[in-house]
Amino acid sequence: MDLKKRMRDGRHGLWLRLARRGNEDAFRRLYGELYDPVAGYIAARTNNVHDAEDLTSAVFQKFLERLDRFEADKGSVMTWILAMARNAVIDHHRRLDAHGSARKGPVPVEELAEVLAADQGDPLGSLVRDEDLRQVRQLLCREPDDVREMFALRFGQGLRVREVAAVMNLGEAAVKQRFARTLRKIRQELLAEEPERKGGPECMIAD
Amino acid sequence: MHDRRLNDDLERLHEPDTANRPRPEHRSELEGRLVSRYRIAQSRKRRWLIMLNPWNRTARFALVGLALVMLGVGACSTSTTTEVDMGKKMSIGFSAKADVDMISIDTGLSNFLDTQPGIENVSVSISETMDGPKLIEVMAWGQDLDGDALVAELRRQVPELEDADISFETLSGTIEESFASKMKREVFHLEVDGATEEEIRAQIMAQLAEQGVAEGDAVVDVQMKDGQTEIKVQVTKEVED
Repeated sequence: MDLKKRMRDGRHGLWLRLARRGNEDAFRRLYGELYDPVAGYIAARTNNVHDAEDLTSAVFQKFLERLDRFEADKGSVMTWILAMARNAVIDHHRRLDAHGSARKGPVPVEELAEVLAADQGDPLGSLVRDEDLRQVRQLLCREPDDVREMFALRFGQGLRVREVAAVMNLGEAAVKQRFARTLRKIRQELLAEEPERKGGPECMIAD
Repeated sequence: MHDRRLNDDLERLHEPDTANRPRPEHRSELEGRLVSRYRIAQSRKRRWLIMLNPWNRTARFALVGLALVMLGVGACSTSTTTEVDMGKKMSIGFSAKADVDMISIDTGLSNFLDTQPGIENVSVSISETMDGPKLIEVMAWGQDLDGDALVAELRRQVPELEDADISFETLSGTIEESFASKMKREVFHLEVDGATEEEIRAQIMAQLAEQGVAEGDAVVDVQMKDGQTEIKVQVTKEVED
């Protein structure tokens, strides 16, 4: 259990309820805490600052319009707005694709999976600080795009497994299973390369 | 490899990429725009809440108006109809390049609508794009409002609308003539002198019955409070084609 995240979700839920009743200060606080995760998520999946700003603005505009529609029993405020951000990114890349190709009809989400996984060229290059990190990155890059998107949401956005499933519109059990399987695989491959790592506990994803 | 070590590596791998992040000033610019829209949305919500109070003067007007409009819809196949002026719709349009200060406009518009005699109720809708508002529509409900005078006064009181394109049209309800005249002459001019809520209610029901309104078609609420008597009469009549 991640107490910090649960407290964050509770705080956001309270601010949203207050904002619905006309409390402007609560609305500002909510915006203040949601801006960075949303802008960061979008920035990692767009090609320039201008698009990132436009999409971030559009997501918050939609968030404001739908303030009264949030249902707390379906997930956290953070999950809700990141799902909006994900849809905005999908629509954005579909529009780009429509302009740049002769394709008719929308681009399937599956074809945007690499973008949603936020792996564009070598964005993480500067972060590879040591051998461990390089190895983990290489192993993760071998995984399918949807798995890498799960990891990006889990470790980049700090979402719980249940929230990752909600944002990607997948079943929680299936997401949990794929996390566990991938982590086990990464760990085994790392252990095979470095015998001294043997003996550590089973790698589990914390929720 | 320990859980913690692997988790740390994964978190480091997914640290935010700062290359495409919005400019620092985008955060405050967007906040300003959102808060402005939030205030407008809350203002509209408050007006609706006031409308839902059955003892509110404007609410009573709207309920009676609703009864009239329902009559009109039911009677559309009859040839004898009467059009009732129920208010004015003002359309305020902005050019694509206009720099619209919605906070000032909203404040000015609210002050204007609150101080205009004859306006019983208002509703406002705003159509906008990413560039800002494109059209504000104000429905000002009240009988026999002077549209030209309203537009002129609006321009005078809200200088931010100087460059806006403002027009108006009449909001009208069509009513079936025979019953409409009965409503106008008789329902709106009921005479009561009862001393208690129940006496007044009984007098009104009796007069409505004399005028051909069946008991099931009328709802009469009387409330005496602080030396004032509030009376709400709702008549619903369906006319068959």
